[in-house]
Amino acid sequence: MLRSSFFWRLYAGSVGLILVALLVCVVLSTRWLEASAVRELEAELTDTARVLRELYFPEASAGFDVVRQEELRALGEEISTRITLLDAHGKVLVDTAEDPQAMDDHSQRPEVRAAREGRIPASSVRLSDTLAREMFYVALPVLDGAGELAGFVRTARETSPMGARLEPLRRAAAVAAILAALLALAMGLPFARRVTRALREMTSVAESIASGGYHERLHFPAHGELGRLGRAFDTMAAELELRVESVTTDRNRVHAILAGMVEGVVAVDREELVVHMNGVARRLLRVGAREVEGLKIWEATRLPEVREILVRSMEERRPVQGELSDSASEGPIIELRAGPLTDHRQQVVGAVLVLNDVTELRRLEGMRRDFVANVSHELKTPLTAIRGMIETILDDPEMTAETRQRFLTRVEEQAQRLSVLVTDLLTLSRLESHAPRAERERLDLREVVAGTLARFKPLALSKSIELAAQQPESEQWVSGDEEELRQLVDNLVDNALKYTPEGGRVQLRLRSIAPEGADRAFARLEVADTGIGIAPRDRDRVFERFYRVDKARSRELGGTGLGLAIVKHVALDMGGRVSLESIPGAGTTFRVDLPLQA
Amino acid sequence: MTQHFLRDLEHLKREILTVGAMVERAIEHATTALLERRADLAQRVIAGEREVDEMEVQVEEECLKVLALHQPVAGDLRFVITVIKVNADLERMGDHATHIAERALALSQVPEIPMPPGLDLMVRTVRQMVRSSLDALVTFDTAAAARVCAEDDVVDGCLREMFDYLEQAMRRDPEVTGRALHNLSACRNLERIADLATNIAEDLIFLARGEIVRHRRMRA
Repeated sequence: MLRSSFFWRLYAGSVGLILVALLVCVVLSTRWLEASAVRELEAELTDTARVLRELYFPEASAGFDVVRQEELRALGEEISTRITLLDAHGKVLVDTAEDPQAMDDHSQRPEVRAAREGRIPASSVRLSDTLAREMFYVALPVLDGAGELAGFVRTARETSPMGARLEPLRRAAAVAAILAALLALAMGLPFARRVTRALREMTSVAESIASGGYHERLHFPAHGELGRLGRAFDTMAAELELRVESVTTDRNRVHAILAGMVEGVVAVDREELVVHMNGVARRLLRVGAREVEGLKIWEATRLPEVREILVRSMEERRPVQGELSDSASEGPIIELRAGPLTDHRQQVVGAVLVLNDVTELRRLEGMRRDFVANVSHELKTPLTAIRGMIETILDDPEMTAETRQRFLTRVEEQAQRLSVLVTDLLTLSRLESHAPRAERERLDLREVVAGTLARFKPLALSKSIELAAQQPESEQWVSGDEEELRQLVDNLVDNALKYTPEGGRVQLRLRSIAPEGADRAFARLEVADTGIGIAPRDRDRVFERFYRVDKARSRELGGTGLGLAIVKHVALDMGGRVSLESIPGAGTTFRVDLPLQA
Repeated sequence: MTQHFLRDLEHLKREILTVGAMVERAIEHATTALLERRADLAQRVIAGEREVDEMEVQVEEECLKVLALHQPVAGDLRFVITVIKVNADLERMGDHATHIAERALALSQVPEIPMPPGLDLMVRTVRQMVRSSLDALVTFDTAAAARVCAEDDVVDGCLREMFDYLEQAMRRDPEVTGRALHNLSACRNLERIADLATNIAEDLIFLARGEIVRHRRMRA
């Protein structure tokens, strides 16, 4: 506080003002007192002169006798006044202090001159030549019977007694002034301190609010202007706090929305500085956790397509679409869509880019394309064969019955193949559409397995493949469609036999398992063969429709390419799952887990 | 510091990062082509080299223009000089990437020989080094740049392993010599890329700290 220049200015200012006022008061009052004392003296001397004029003057001009002079002198002494009688020329006739003979011409004395001119009062203050003291002189003219100037009466007194009389008054005034000054000094201090403190408190709270402490408030006393100021300030601070909160809430909300989106969002301003990049965008652009807001977009990510598309959309003022084909083999396929941002005056202020991971989408599109192509091909081949053979038969009426029989048999084979294909397609389509099951029954998997085994025994025998099944003691109840389940097991065994060379082995194994973390038990069917195996890169894809590892061979063996797809969908539909293990050249094990019913 | 100067510096920074991105991509494609026997990728890299070279000439001309026009001093001067150096390093990196692509193309057209076991690690490390050194140009992270320099030892080790492996392979079966030599050449080029990435990192340390750090350690 003591260092505050404002405090000192305030204090010094107010105290100074008070002191100046006091000074003026004291000076004026003492002056007035003095003037008043002087006037009083003047009046007294004038009265004395008047009296003397009546009493003594006629006599003096004739020549004052000594006795009278003595009398005058005694009188003068008694009333402490010096009396001087002058004639009309200024010559001293009588004087109570000096010998008149020795005194010079007084006609030029100021009070005399004034009296001659008729001025009333005719007085002056000066140092007496003769007495060497300051004296106050008053002169009165004396007029004779004819009204002509006959002489002057002059009275005088020392001024020092008057001064002496004033002295205590002056002293009293000075003391009073000093007391008042001290009082002012003392009382000014708390006043200045209060104002200064209020100011400092306000400054400190304002500074703290400016640096983020929005909840700070003043605590001014309730009264007066300061109180009003304090309340106004507090209201303003509260308002500010609300605004800041509101803005922060809004901003957090927007961030939360952006963070919760599936798409990546990047916003830049006109200077290509990143305004915002949400988490998904960071992942897709591989930016990581780095602080990117405030960086140029081309500093944040080196993928050139990102900057290009944003700049283009800002320049062309319209949405632009593009794609990130990051690396040819790895990395997701990302679709880019950028649009310009304009303010209320239609000025471009930035651009926003939305990133969409369309890898899966593209893959599915690819699969669909492949599927359609495959189906067309699969259907066309037998049809072409059928048509060819029918045409041949029709074109050649000479054909022998034997030949015709052979051809027609082949037509029937192809027709059968078509039929199987169409049936499989329908099955698959039905499975994939998740149509509600009408035919859900309780079945014992062991029976299904046994049935399949019986059906495929001849085929296994013909290829000298050992086909066997290991069945559990207890029933394996599952809930499903009998036809579908049969197809599932059939397809697995069919595949196994198809891809196992002669002399190999296909082993089925059925048992209950209770996997960790699952809340129910499963029936696990394993079909293990000693066949040619499946390479790692094909392993994930064998369950896809029409996927064939070795296209030529599979078609030759009469497959539709849909077998495993059906297996997968039947299992999934029942709430189970499929998996496989394989060692190329050694064999493959397919595994199907189906939920057990009690 | 006038508007034009600032803008030119910014432009320069963007251009050098663009060249960096192009070279980074070329390296990625070339190494993928090598590992996965992708002739298509290899050809893409070889075809793209010209564009990279043109861009690099452009950058150098920009730098000279900035030096002549604005006569920068202190930090800005170091920046322009660094851009010139990095540009040269990137140009050579691009050349090496093209060489790798050429080897990959050749290898994709002949029967496969097993890849040396350390090749995967080497490719990953080199890619990471290139990425980090370019990132450091943006972030001025001298610690990350120092780490790049340290990783160079890993790459050198990989190369030595590769050398031994291929030498043995050639001895066991002289038929594979031609292919093994292609492989070795590709690995050599990869190692050079790692060295150049180290250079870039050192250039950045110079830019950030004003001290020259290269040639501090003797190569074993």
